[in-house]
Amino acid sequence: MNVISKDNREHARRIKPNPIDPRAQNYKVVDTDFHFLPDWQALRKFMKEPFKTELTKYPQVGGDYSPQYAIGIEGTGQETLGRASTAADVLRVMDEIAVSTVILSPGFQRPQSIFHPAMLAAVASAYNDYLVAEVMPASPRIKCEIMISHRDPAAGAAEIRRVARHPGFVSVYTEFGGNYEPIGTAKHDPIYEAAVENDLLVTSHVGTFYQQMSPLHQGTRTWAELVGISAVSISMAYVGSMILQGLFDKFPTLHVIVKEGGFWWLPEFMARADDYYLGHPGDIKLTERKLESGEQFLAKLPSEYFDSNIRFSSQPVCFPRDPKHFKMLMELCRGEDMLLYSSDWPHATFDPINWAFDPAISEEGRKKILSENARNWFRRPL
Amino acid sequence: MDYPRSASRKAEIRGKRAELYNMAEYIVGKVDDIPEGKGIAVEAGRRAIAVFRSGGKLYAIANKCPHKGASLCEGEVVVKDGIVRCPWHHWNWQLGNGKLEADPRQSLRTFEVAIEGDDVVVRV
Repeated sequence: MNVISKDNREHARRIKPNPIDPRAQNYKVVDTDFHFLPDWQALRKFMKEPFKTELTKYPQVGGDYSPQYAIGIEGTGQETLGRASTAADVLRVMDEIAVSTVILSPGFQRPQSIFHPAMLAAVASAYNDYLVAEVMPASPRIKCEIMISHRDPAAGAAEIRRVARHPGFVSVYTEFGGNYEPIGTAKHDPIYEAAVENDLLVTSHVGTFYQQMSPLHQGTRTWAELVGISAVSISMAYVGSMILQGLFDKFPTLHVIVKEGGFWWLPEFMARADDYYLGHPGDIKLTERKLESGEQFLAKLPSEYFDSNIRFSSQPVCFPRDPKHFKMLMELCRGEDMLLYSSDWPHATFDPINWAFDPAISEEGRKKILSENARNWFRRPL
Repeated sequence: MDYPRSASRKAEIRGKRAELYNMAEYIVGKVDDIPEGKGIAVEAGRRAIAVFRSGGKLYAIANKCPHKGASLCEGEVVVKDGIVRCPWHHWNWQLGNGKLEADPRQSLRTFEVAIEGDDVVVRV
């Protein structure tokens, strides 16, 4: 560029842009999925022996999937934006991303990858005790999920009952993943029972993808397949197992929240599940729960359980290429009612609140997505 | 015949064009304000612009990532590839032409940058 004229030249102001929309301050935002990763050595102090001595590091067996080749990040890509290891860290980041209340998910993304039940139970109990001792007292704005061994439902239920009296816990963390059976099966009912008894939600959060133990992993090559697509298909299967195996008929007041399981698949699921159910209802009565109750069918159509029993955390909001399709999808999926804002901080798929100010979303819808839906859906006060 | 144009004549034409298109020039800082492999953000008129130094050259692009609004001046500059990586989701934007590496149909605005003395000047 050749300089043309100095007469109209101004000095540009140096700025440090805040990429978070400042209007968020007006909404008392609830972030329903924020990952907390305590220092492992600090956590060990809360473990029972012999694990306190033996587990010198996180005992993951399955091996880390790394997005190294996909986006050039070493490790698991879980700490792209930083790490919240203490309550002070959490509160600092909450101010940065303009949220009023957070619900902490474990930062160990894959409890399912700890295959040794006693190890998993030891880690989970220590994590929960750490939250009670070190995090909850810091602020009522920090709410927590109870980590359990969901492969061992009786142990999981016992852990829920052990810590449920602390009002800082608002839900029970479980994962959907490709190396474990869908959690809607009846053998997991002790977990649901303990949750309902204690006014806790059950979370189904993305965990393992097509892990090494699943035949499906063998053909996958890319991170987008693993985390992008498989997460959604597995999430659908888990939700399907809950609905079609009568979980919500046995526990009609149970509230579930699906996290990072996608959302735009709802219309397909609802229409297809209703159609297939009505065409093939004969084996509903053979499911464990219906054998127990003697009922023949579901109490209502599969699609009708979403309103009463299932919600979705919003992240990641994946925009269709045509902007008007976003509005259409939000209407079709009842996004303003079904979505609860989440950030997924600090992961590489982080969502700021900014998308909630898209013109396709009504002001009333914005209030619901950012705050009211979560406050109404969680049984305990946020 | 006006050809070949002198430097002053060229400057005069550019000046008229700039007036016509309501362009303005902004001094965004000193040369030393922008280290190699880093970026800064400035407010130039109504725009937030990120200015980077990569491989010794200066580049100016819109600061706001078109994906979900991250501040690109905070991103990592990969000098050998001539890109800046969005700090949130690591979308790779080419500094030279503003195009998205994985889908060049998507791009963000780029702005002309020049060095005048020890001032860095951006045309908006």
